[in-house]
Amino acid sequence: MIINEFLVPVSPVLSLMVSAVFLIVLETVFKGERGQVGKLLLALAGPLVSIFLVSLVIPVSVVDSLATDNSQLPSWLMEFKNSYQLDRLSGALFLAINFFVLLTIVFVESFLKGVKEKTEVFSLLLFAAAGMMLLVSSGNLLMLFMALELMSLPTYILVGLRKNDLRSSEAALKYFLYGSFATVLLVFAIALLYGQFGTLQLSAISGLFKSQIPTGVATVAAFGLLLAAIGFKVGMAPYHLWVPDAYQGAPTPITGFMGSAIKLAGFGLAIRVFGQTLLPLVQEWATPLSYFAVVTIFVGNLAALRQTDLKRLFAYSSISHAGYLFLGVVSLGGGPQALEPLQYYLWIYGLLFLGTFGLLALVEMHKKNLDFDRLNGLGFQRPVLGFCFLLFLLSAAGIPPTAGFFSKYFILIQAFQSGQRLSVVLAALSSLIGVFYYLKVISHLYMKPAGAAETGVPRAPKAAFLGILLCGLGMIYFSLVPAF
Amino acid sequence: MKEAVFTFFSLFTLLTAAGVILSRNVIYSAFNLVLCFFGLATLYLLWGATFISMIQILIYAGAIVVLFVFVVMLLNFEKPTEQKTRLPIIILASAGVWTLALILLRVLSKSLGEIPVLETTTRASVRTVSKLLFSQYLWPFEVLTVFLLALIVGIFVLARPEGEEAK
Repeated sequence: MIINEFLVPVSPVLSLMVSAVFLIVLETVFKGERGQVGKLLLALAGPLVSIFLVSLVIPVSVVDSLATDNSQLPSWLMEFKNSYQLDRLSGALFLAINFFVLLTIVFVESFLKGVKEKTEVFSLLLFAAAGMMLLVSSGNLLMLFMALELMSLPTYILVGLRKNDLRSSEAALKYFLYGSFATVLLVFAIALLYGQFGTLQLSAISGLFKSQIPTGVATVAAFGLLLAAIGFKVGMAPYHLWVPDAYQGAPTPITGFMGSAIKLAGFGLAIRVFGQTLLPLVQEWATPLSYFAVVTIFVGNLAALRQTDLKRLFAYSSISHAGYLFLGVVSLGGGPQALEPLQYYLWIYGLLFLGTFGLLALVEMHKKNLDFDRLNGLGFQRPVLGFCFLLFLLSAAGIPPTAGFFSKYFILIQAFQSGQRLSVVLAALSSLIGVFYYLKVISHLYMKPAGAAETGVPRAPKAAFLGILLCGLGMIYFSLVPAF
Repeated sequence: MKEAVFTFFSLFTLLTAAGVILSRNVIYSAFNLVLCFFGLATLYLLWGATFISMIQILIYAGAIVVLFVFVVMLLNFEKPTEQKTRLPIIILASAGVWTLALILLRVLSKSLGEIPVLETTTRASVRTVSKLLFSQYLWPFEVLTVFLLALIVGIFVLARPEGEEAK
């Protein structure tokens, strides 16, 4: 019974945890550089096995969950089944998380040369990924909180990995303080909800909303706090102040991880809260939240115009993308068909962000600064990588034949159909501002003469080259198959 | 009687909490914090949550404040230097505080009667808490252990000096 009801459903998460724990064991046996290949393989094995298990478990469980008798189960298994939703959404997000973690591990192995504790970094990445998977599948406020912490705390540590670098320490401290503040807001929200409804179950709370529209101040306060906590985690506009500093100070491969996987998990949480739990109340929150999203898009795009550092530029660009994604969450009010464009956008945005930061890590390998001139002539010096970068930038800007265009288009269509007309018009206008700074980067790639050879971009390590290429191929694939 | 005790201890908690922020000497702050935690523990006790109140004293008043005092001792703070705060900042800050206070007052005055009080039938004793932890909430509890393991690894990464060879 335990095997069928517990171990099989949770196996995608467990495989990450097991691989993380065995990495530490391996490190105590083979210290330092010895057995690096074995450690790397073990780290890669976790997500790979997890992808395999997801594709095995999800189809079965989606069919299975309709017709099972829960009354015979012990109480902890009942609670487990309620707090772990294994539906199609979880499956899609599990796959994306595992894929992003795989790429991050490859980039960390290739680019974090100075860091001695690589095995621990892998292990922390895997723990964080396990937390994300629990977060996007959580059906219960207690589990949601635990998963959020399991995701966040390893990331704070990964941001501060370069201990001699003041920027990195500052970023870690800022991220930690803002992040723990968000956690406090979340705990307060959970306390208010539990005090009001006497249950931690998201589905039960949602059911209560269906029968009566609550007007109590405590409910409004609770969901305001939830919104603020989610806003902090995904970097929405009034709560975005930590994003540029944390993204700039973190080691570059880790920034890629933060921008892709953590943002995806944050939006998974937003979907569970707004798209599922609060769906009965959609009339109340859809329009205000869509303005919230539009403000985020404008703040991100306008602030990105003035940046001279590439990492900060892409940090602000990620804020504007968070706005589009949030517009997608808002359009869930129009019906569950809005879920697919949202997943499509999350995949594309994650791939292009990871690929971009893989490239930036390559650019800063020999010389640390990352202003625009470092990219001069990259398009001709390294044709394949340059072309990938071009794809990422065009996608991020949303130029028509690329995947990024389709994702933005689908999201805006869904938001329009759910009734957010003004927000859609404003969001489309704002993406024009975005085109300007993405084109500025492209002009440096292809229209400026390359600098001297020793300041140029080094040849990429094979694994990292493959990783970036994979992101580029992913962009091409998603533009050829513009449906999810 | 219970009301009076509750009022006394909540006032006590608030006052000592204010003392934590307002006192200039870090040691006084730490001791105010201990008193504040004791006040909170008493409030929990009044609600019948004996377990939480004991944990509050053991962990917060015991372990955490001791850590604070150690940090203060090791860092050897100098007398705080007077900092000039600029007028616009003072105006902005007080405007923010007063707006928030007004909103809170309005919300509280409107909603105090609305918030339903859940009747607790069980006392949150050690027995009930541990029963719940090992039956209903076993899975979150296990995730918590994984979380702690991840933290231990993280602390190891952070605490090891940069550049030291692996031994």
